[in-house]
Amino acid sequence: MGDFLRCVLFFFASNLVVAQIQFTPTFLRSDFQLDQWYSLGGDDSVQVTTFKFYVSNVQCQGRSISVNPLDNVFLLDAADSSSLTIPTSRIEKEADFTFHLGMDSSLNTCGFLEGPFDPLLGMYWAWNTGYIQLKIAGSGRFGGVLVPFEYHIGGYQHPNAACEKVGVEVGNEPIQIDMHRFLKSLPYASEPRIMHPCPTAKRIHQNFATCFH
Amino acid sequence: MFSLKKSILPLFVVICVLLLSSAWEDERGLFYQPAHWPKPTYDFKNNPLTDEKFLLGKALFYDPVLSVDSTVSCASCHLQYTAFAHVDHALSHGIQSRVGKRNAPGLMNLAWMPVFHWDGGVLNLNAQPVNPITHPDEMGSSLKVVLAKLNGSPVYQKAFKEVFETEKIETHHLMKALAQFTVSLVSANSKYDKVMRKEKGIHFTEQEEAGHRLFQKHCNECHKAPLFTTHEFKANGIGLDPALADFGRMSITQKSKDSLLFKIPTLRNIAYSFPYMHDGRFAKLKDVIQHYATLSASKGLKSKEFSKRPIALNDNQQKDLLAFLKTLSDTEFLFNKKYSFYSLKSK
Ligand code: HEC
Ligand code: HEC
Repeated sequence: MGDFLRCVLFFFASNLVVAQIQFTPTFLRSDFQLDQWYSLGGDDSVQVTTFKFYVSNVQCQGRSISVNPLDNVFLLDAADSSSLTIPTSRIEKEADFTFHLGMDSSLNTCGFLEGPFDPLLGMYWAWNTGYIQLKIAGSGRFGGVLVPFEYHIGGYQHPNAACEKVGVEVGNEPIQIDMHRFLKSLPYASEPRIMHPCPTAKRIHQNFATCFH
Repeated sequence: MFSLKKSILPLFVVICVLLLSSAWEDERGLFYQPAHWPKPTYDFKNNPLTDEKFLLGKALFYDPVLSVDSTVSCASCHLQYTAFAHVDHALSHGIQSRVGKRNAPGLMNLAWMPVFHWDGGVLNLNAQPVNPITHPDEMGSSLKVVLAKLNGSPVYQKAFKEVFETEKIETHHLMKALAQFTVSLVSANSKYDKVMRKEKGIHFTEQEEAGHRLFQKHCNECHKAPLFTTHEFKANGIGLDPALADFGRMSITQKSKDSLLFKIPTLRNIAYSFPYMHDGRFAKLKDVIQHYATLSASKGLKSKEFSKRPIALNDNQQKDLLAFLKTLSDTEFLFNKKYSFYSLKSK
């Protein structure tokens, strides 16, 4: 009955929308593309070839969008635009969303190997059970020198757990991921390659969490 | 309500007896729970055992189709007659990276094992095969190849369809099938077990009896019966091999207190699963015993258990201990046909 009323309301009140979260990576006001070179200012530019990350525990107006926490895990992949939208069945005017960037320890260790948990997706850490929460790789050109970089950011154990709570208010607008800010923050020179949980990895993930608007 | 319960009870008992007797039936591959053992840690509800899934898992275990170039099977490194360990190879070879740094442990009683690998880095038996199948630095790529090969094989397609009711073989089907086999590898029928069960006509010799007493005094705290491991992480004084630079548990937890700690291995079937230790540095069991007997002189890191009670064993005592360790061999397990080579193609 409640659902029926909501549907009726939906048809008659045009300012209500099906709440969904759409993520759009942007670089200084234009859409961000994989494989394209972007200037970071001065002589520095970067090209990203892989960019994937997990979002979990999505809540809309303080309520989880699914009963089973295993169904509330999403792998967003810049190479697959359909993965950048998280659908929900909620109908709202303006929705407050919160989500976890990354997964907590229980999701990391649940042993469920289906859907977003499939090791086939290249995010599973076999040698230390758990998932890479953020994978970003590519090359940078800094003062004319080409530097490949690769970050596999993950870990769920204190103090290096890569799981941040992010809150955003969504109307009809997609959530922007500020890639300019994020790419400027990566430690290309000191640590161009990180493949295990560590304080730097944690800091990268924390910086990443500040890039959602 | 009460009468309903009463009428269901006999039926329940009959079902239980049927279930138990079928699990014990030897031609069947299914897991069983030895009397007086702790409760398994494996989640059977998430992967209920059936004969068909077990057989599929066994076929996969013995099939080199699981390696990218179809040359190496699980059994290449885990041979049944050596308790599913890799004999003669100190360090298992066949696939690259981390796996090549360690000695392949025997596979048995995995249903009671809370964490896997020498450093406890793997938390689920269901997910464990991802390790040998993939290379850590290029995760997913060879899993893709393996699944494509299985999906392209009419024999496997049919078998997976029959047991998992799926048109497409996915990672979790493959993992669950393999776990059906590995979790069923129960070894609990050694001479030691028979003596403990007070089976008629089976006794320790005097030497084994003396060895048993020494074992209880010096070894049981870590290699605790009936599993002969507490699954904790300890240092037994063998020290770091600088060429391998394997710091064990610390690589997982990133904590310096875990440096050089390794998971305590079971000692069941130990006479068969040579060479010994995480890097296979000791070729013979008597070398291991000699290591413990001369531990006070060793410079390697030692867990505190050893300082509480220094182990001093003379030659005769070392022989006694060796005799006892040999009573942990379960030849029924080592030569049981239900675990041996099997192929769907020959069916
Ligand atoms: C190239 C040799 C090799 C192959 C092939 C191989 N393994 Fe292993 N296996 C090892 C080594 C080495 C270890 C220990 C790894 C470690 O501790 O880092 C191991 C550990 C294990 C463990 C954990 C045991 C314990 O006591 O923690 C299981 C279970 C296992 N392997 C099952 C399999 C299965 C199933 C397959 C086939 C899909 C397989 N292995 C293929 C070498 C191999
Ligand atoms: C403080 C705990 C502890 C005690 C006490 C202990 N061990 Fe161990 N044992 C270990 C650990 C940890 C390993 C694995 C070490 C490694 O590979 O780095 C091990 C390995 C072994 C191995 C090799 C097993 C294999 O599969 O490679 C044998 C055999 C063994 N121990 C026998 C004994 C005997 C016999 C005693 C008593 C004299 C004993 N241990 C006492 C912790 C202990």
